[in-house]
Amino acid sequence: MKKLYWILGLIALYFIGDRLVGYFFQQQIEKSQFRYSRMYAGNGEADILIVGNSRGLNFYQPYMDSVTNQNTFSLCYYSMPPEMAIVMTKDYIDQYPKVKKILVELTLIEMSDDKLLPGFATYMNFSPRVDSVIKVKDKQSWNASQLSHLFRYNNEVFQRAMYYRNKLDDDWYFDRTITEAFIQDAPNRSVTFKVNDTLIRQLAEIGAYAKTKGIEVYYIMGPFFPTYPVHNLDKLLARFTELTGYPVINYSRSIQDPYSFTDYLHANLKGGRATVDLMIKDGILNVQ
Amino acid sequence: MVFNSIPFLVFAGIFFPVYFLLKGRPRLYWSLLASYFFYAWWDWRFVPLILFSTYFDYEFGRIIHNSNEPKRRKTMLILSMIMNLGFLGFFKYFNFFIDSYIAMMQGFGLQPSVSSLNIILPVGISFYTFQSMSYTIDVYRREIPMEKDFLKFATFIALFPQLVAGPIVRAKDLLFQMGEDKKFSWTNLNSGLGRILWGFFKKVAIADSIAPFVDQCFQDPMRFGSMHLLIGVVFYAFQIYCDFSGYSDMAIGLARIMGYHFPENFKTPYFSKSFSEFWTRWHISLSSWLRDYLYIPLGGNRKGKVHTYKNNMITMLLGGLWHGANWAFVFWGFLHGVYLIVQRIVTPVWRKFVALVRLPKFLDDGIAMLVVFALTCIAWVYFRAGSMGLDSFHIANQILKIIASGEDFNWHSTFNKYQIIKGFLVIGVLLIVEVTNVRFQWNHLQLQKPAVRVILFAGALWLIALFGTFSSNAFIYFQF
Repeated sequence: MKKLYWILGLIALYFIGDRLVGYFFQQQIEKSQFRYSRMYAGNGEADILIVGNSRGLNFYQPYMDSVTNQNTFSLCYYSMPPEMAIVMTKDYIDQYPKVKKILVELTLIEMSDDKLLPGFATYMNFSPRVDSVIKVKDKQSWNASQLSHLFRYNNEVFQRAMYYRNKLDDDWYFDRTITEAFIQDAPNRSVTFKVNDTLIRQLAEIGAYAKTKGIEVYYIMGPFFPTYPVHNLDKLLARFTELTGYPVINYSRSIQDPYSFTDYLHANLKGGRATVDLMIKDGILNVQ
Repeated sequence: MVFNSIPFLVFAGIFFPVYFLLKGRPRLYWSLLASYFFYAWWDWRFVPLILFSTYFDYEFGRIIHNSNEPKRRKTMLILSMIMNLGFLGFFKYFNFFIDSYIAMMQGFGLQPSVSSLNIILPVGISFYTFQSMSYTIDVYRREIPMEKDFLKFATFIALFPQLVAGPIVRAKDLLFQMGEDKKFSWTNLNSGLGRILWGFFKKVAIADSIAPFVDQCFQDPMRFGSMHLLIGVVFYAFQIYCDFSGYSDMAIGLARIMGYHFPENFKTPYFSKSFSEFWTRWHISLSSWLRDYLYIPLGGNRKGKVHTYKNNMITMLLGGLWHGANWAFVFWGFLHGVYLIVQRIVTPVWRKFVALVRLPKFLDDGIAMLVVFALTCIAWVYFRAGSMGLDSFHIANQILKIIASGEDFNWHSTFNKYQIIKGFLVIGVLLIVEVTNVRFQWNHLQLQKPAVRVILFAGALWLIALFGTFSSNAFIYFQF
């Protein structure tokens, strides 16, 4: 009998600790200055919203803010799963209907990591949509996060939120310059787009939802390193327009300076500024 | 079936209650059957291979034991070695030697007509082969008597906790525990669960958490600067330690619940102050096997300096080759051989220097630990690259070259800082537990004080929930 008490004691202690520490972490998340925390806490108001994976970070926000004299807000995250980007964009539009433009980086549907999805469990308490996407796409993780609240914080998203607990995440850019060895090796590497119709249609949901609120949406293909082969790029762009009716602004080969890149996929600050300049030139952004 | 998987939970849930319900031979039958099932979960086709080598080693052991004729005894021993090493050589090294031969011939401008075969490596073959060999050698040396009961012998070879990734438990340590009818014991259960939980933490919260960062570094080192790669290499040192020692902890814990006592396989190896000490703390069951069945029979350190160096080198080269059919593993062994030799030469000079400058002991120990750890890490680079196949030397050299260049040696240039912070955090937990364990003996403490046990178990579960990575569950040492 005594053994049973100890076992029950262990179970009770585990769950009490789990809930208490889980509650403490949730409090910290609410106070964090990380982008999703700010958004759900009501501090994410902006004129321009940027949606994408890590390549969305190429759209260098501070420069964009200064030249357009408008506020920007980014929902970009490394290998952001498109389903999560879509629901978070909808959450953003609902919460901040005054947003005027949404810039969507198109590789969101090609360069994402589904394993990252349960990482957003950190924000499942703030959004029924986030909760629902995780429940549908990764039931096992969802169940685990119901059983253990600590499990909701077992991810990189939470760690980032803690890192930005007391400071804004506006330093989240690529500011390295690509190495010479990497430059030389570029033609030997490549990426091939899969062109998935389902994902294309899903991404078009952002445009459709924004349209109902009178918000402009631009789908943009950000720059790639000039000598880095990208296969099926034209096919993807054509298919996207064919299925959704939205044109794609193609900057994939617009930056020829190799030193404007961090690697083959990401522009650095110099490249980021150049991308913003291109958007101004093309009338996507207005200089005020 | 791996220990950190749902199928194993189901397996253990059925195995243990039945195990304790049965007694005597039925329990042995059950253990053997369950162990073969455990093995067959990977590939049932290799179960006959274990049965075959078990049967023949049993027979060889019987003949060796019963014979007083030195020549006959020796012949039987040699036959046993040929059989065991023959299996190992065929399944593990055949393609390696063929490919090396082809490459060498091509180097001379010749085109040999041989080609490699499509051979599947049976999981754990290196472990159970060495275990089986130790039995026949020990019987030959008259260090142990033969085991008369085939059932006991077969169970000793196949016992599932140690079957696929060690520890390599020798007959004198385990076989004679098989006869005892072990009763269920709460002490064993608690002690075993404690070890399993700690091993599980090491595996899922440390090894698997830092694995993606390490993988990135080794897959494409050119993308990264020196600090990023240096962290990657240090992380790999902890990844392989936690992966392998975590498995050993779980194996020891499972055996403990069954009532068996397995010897320790790791004793905080990164706190070693010399390479000879390192090899008494790292994969102890293999290093002691190599010492007892290879290094000492070669003459050990009894025949002068040059012979000692030669014996060190042969032992380490073969130890490297044991890990895998790749020259990078051999080179890893070669580096450790060099370390051991250089250590023998340098240590007397260093001791004189320490005495001369009156270097405080903590500084002396600290420097020694740091040097051993750094050089071990360099060797790990080749070891890790060796697991990747053909370009292993190129990748390893590239990584070491970038680190040595000092290019981008700053925090700012690192990628995935969050993985780095998490990595250091979990490694910190590991080091704290291992350092404090010397004083507190956590496992003994939890056995004595149930309140401590409840807190430690709950703490481990919290840490696993918060830091565990559950998407991958393969163990690095399964490939060996």
